[in-house]
Amino acid sequence: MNPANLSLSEAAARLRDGTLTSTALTQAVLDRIAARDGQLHAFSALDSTAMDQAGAADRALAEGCDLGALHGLPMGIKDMIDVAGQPTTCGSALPAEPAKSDAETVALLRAQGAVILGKLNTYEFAMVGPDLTLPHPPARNPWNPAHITGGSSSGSAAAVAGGLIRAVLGTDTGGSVRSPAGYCGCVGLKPTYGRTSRQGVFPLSPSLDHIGPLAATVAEAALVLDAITNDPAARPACTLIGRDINGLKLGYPRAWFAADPRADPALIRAMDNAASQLSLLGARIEEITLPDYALYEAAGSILIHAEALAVHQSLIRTHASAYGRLVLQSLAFGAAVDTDALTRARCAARHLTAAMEQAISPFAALILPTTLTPALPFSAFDGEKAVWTPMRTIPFNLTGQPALSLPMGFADGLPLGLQIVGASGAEDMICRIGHAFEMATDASLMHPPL
Amino acid sequence: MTDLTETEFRRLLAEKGLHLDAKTFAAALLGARNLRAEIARLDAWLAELDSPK
Repeated sequence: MNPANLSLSEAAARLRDGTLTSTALTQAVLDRIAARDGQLHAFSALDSTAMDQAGAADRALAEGCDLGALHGLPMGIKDMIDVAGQPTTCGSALPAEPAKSDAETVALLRAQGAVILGKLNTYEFAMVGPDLTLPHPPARNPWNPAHITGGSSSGSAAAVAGGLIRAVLGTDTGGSVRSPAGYCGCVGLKPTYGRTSRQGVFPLSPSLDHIGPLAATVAEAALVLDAITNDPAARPACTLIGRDINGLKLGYPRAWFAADPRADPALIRAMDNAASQLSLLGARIEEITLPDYALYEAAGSILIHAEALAVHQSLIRTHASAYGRLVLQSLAFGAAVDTDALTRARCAARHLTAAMEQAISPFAALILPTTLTPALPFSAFDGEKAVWTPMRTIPFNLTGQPALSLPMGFADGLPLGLQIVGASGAEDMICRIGHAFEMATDASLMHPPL
Repeated sequence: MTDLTETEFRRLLAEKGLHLDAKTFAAALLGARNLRAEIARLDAWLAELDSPK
């Protein structure tokens, strides 16, 4: 078997039993990238030290020094996150100096032996895209390169779903890990707010920013999340994986998406099928009503735009001409939010969080779709104004609750994502449910025609 | 609250040091008006929460 196809745990086992080296694994992944990334544009830069890192990992293992679960395994990093010695371009044409040090999440990956392979494309400043006017080409959906990946972790999702690499780090402020994972057919895990460090990550909206993994499977996403968790009190995400879900109560807020006229009928069918599948596995599905979705989107949108403008204000004064049109437009929206409106939005966010916590409390988790449609074609984006694709992700950036997206089916040959949302700190539960669903269905086993 | 005028939006942008070309300004104004509508939506909800039952 090509080592690039091995799961993280399979590769880790083979590194330890001597049937694989990190050097061979890293070379296989680099070969895969060389073969496929011309179509996908997932990576923005490869780390020239990757093979040296792999050699060092092999020598360390040979000397009996095992750094942990990720020892010798290649990882990719969204280009919003600092990797020492490499510029963090944020997908922008603005000048970027090489980062002086690793972001804390990257440092944690290295401390556990990961090989940092390179940087992955992102929508500009993780805000809006695809922007076809930027100098670098946007990442393309592995299932159909005429379609977008979603964003903003666009290259991250394309790389994992395209089989280039098993796991990467992304950022999620309104759905930027989960929606591209859903559109491209891989797993995306947004952790509880604050579980992973934001240090060394270019901010979009500090009160909504989360760092989390995208991976080929739920178990691999959980493994990487546990590696980058810097909260010693957090329950490991991996511990319940493999347990059955018999008797678990799952809340199903069907009207939250099915009543939206933008929801694709195939998506609604796929979501109902997913609920039925979970029921066959023994879960008890209960249809529930949540507070008005539009309120969550409103509060999230106000916070993102106001905070993003504050982040960029000094850069805009000096480099406005280097920004893409779509990002400049989106940043300008924030000027409509004054201090009082921002304060009221934060107050509303607290009420909405309390309401969601109350709604989730009787359940092991909620189930709902990640997005309301499959990935749109590039032809839907004219580059003149931003096009917002309908999703159901931003409420959980606002509430800080963990949310997992994993493949649940296809529409028109494009993947659809199932989202599983838990109580704060319940990454272990949502990964348990996600893994059980993954094992019982074949959506995660399908590979794009590359 | 939602009837953000062009003049007011230009003033707000200038305060932030943002100067947009005509095409970008037109799209940004639409988005800014939508955001004002979202602010109004939340304000109405918060007022409802505060009102005596």
